[in-house]
Amino acid sequence: MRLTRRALIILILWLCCTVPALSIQRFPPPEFDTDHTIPTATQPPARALAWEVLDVAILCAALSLASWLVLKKRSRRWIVVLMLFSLAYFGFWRKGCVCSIGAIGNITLAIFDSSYAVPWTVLAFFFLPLVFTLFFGRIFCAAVCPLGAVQDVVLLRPLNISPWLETTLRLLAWLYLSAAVLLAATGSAFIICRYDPFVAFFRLSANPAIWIISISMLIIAVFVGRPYCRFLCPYGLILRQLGRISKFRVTITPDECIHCRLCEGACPFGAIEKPTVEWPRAEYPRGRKRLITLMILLPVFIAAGVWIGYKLHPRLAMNHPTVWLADRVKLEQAGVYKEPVDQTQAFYTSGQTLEALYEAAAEKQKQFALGSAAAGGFMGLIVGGTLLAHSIFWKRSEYEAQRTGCVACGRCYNYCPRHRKWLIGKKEEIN
Amino acid sequence: MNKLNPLYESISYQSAIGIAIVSAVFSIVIATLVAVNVYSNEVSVPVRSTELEKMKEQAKANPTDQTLAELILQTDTQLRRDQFAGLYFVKRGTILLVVTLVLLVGSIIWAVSHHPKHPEVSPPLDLKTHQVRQASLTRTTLSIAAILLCSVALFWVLHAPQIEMDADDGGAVASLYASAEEMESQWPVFRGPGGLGICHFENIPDTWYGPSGKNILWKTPIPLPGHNSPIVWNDRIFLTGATEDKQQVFCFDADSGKLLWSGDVSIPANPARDDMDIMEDTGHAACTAVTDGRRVCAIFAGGDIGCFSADGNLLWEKHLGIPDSMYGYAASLTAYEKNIIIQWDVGYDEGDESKSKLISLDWQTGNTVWETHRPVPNSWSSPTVVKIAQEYQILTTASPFVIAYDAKTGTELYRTECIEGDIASLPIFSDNKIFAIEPYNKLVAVNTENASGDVTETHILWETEEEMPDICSPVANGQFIWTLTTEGLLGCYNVTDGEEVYTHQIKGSFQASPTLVADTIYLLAEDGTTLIVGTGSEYTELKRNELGEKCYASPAFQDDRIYIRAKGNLYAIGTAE
Repeated sequence: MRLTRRALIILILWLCCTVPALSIQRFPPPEFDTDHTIPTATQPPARALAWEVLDVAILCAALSLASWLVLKKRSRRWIVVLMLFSLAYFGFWRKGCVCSIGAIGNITLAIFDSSYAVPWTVLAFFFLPLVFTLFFGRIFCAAVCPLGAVQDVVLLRPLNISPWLETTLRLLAWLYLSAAVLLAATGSAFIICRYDPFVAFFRLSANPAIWIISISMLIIAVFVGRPYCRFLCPYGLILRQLGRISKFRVTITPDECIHCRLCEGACPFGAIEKPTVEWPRAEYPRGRKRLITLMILLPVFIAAGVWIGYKLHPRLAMNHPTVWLADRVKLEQAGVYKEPVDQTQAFYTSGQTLEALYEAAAEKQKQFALGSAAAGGFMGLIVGGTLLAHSIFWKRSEYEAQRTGCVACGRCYNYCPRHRKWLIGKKEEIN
Repeated sequence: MNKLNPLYESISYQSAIGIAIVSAVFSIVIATLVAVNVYSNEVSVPVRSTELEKMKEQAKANPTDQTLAELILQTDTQLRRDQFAGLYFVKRGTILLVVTLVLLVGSIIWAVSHHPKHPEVSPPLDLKTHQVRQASLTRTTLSIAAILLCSVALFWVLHAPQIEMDADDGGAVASLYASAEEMESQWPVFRGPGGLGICHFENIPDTWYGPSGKNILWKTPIPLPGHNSPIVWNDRIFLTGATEDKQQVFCFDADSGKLLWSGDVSIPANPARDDMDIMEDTGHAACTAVTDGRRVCAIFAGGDIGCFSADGNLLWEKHLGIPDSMYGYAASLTAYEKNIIIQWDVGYDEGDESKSKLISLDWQTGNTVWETHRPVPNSWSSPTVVKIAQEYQILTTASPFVIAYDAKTGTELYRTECIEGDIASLPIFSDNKIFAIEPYNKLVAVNTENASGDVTETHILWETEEEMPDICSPVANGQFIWTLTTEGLLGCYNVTDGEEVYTHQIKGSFQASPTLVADTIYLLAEDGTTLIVGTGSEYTELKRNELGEKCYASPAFQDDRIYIRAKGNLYAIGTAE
């Protein structure tokens, strides 16, 4: 069995490496006259309304079904089936778009730019999983998200990630969310979509940099359970927060925890919380002092974040095409760059004045100054808040799935003897 | 039932493993075939085919070879056919690969679900200390990560150039290179646009007095000596200065006179430098620089060229070699669109072959764009770029020719053999005529209409044999042309027929060329006195302004300003508020 697994891991890794070969190739037309008429570039037509309705209907149905499978049916097998369907439909068939995760960019831009209209499907894809999470926990991650599904499918040899490492690595996700919101709010880029690590597989086409990211992520996913979901996914962060207050949620046991400890190693995502015991008595005064210090320092963390964010704004602003163009033109004017690039050449022939370009870039930089400061402050709050959260004693008497970290995959069900007994009872009921 | 279940589980597990192995083998085979096909297709992409490229090169050299053209067409078509066949194969292979992969993953999941791992229970931990340690570890690593993040951010902040966008930067600059129209709106070359010595502003100050500071906006010392003239682009004034061992370009702020930057142009070691024959009156920095607002380029007596960005960064240097120039090399630079123009009139080699040429350098890189051989000896004149019959031409004078070149390509358009001697005056263009001066002897008018080739016999309209300048260039207003000798003889001639209108001896010595400002002419004498005379048919002195310092360079004129380079200082004259 061990040998088979190793062979499978090697096989999957090897196959991953061959996938980039499937990218579409293009080359210029011949330099001589032919009978062939070269088609003119056209915009792809908008997706028909019926298909859009179907997409949203399928999303709604998948979320409902996932809720039922996770909370009522408690069947890992059927969750996997639904997950594979979602992977096939939302991933390979719909080519990873529209996607709830990427919708963060659209929604953010719509908030900050009144001239930007969000398609209703994007709204639906953004809000439906949030609503379902509010009621049923992270069932979207369990069986509907194609990105989660592709990672779940390749998870063969999960390594145990310590909670401290998990918490620390999650800072990356907060950073990614802050950057994604900042860049979308300023109209610079939808980085979540641009750097989607799995869309290359769904479309079998991407540039080499994305292929490297995608393959690396998939290789990591073989050993680390859902690395993108846990350490990068910005939408996952929102779902985590909603999961805290969800009305219903996954439970390892259908009724009572008998503290058998069989589920301790069940979760490859480290989302099973053990019961806690009182801290050593000597720890309390120290803990209290630490808590007070951190509470006092929290505004300092925020202020430091604001300052660093503000200072970074000229560099961050370079992600906006106008600022980049203005900067490039300026450097070309100064002779730092000897030759114009396509973008600057296009600008020079456009007849626009540099004054207008610099004015637009300066305006964008102002927006970045504000946005970067806010993002920096937010990061300060996250760091301070997380430190505070880990300075508090949380009382727990049972083994339970984390409200935030559990992706409702249902792996832990079969580990629980109470679940097995519950299943036998259900079968007997049916018979 | 209980006995059947393990059997069923075992069969299911075995089947799943079997399917997984078969689909794995298939996946490997298909993926290998697809990959091999893709990579072999990569090699046969038509644009990368060296064979095809070679044939195309041959076709360029031999464009009439129909057999070769046919062969190229066939090869290209075949390569494209192979490409599309390969792509078709890859497409089909991909679909098959996805199917086998789905089968593989499905069977693995099936196998795993029928062979569940039995839960293992680890020995119980001391929860009290474990919890505290975990919390402590989390806080520590989180703090380290936050500090690391902050350090990276701070490093980024401190070590990255801060890019500030100032809308004012963009004012008049609209492209990477200045258009001819843009050049005409500034004072970018010696004697202003086209080297014509005509100021297009009418609000030029006409009263000042240097010793008292009246209407002197500012006065700034110039770090190094030189006889070159100031050139101006918006709020920046450029000058050069040099001694035997130092050559510099200076940029001054037009509003305050502050020296914004100075840039060194290196002097390469060359034994021939010791033999340079430079008169004191010429100096090492007689050539006026050229600017297009984005850059400024200067040449010095030793043939050393330096180009700087408007902010003072050295972009490139070029060394043309020591010019064989009696008195010292003095030709100012000019520019047209992307190129700098150099009149490199440097005499003959040992075989009596002229070494002179007109050189065009790329503004950005300093690379030679074109060179045109000139059949002339030394000259001290400068090229001018003017629009003649809707085309820009470069006009040059050097014994014995007036030659016009196409400003884009440097191709000679026409020439006239009409002047002799050590030519220093610039040719000027007015009323469809080129006016050239033979020092001390004559003024020549050349008709530019339908001029092509050698037009000596057909296009010389008139010649006036009078006392003519050896240094100062003339100025014309379409009706009259004025000449000014070093000794102060101002001559006025009719442009139509060259008839003398008047001559007037002015007391003083002149090296700066006259400038036409509306209906007046500004004449700057060596002693720093500027005479403003009328443009009528009789000599009329309107005003006389003293600067109080010796002047050799022609002044530059901009909106409500005159910039005068005196011996040691740069002056800005304006209307004091």
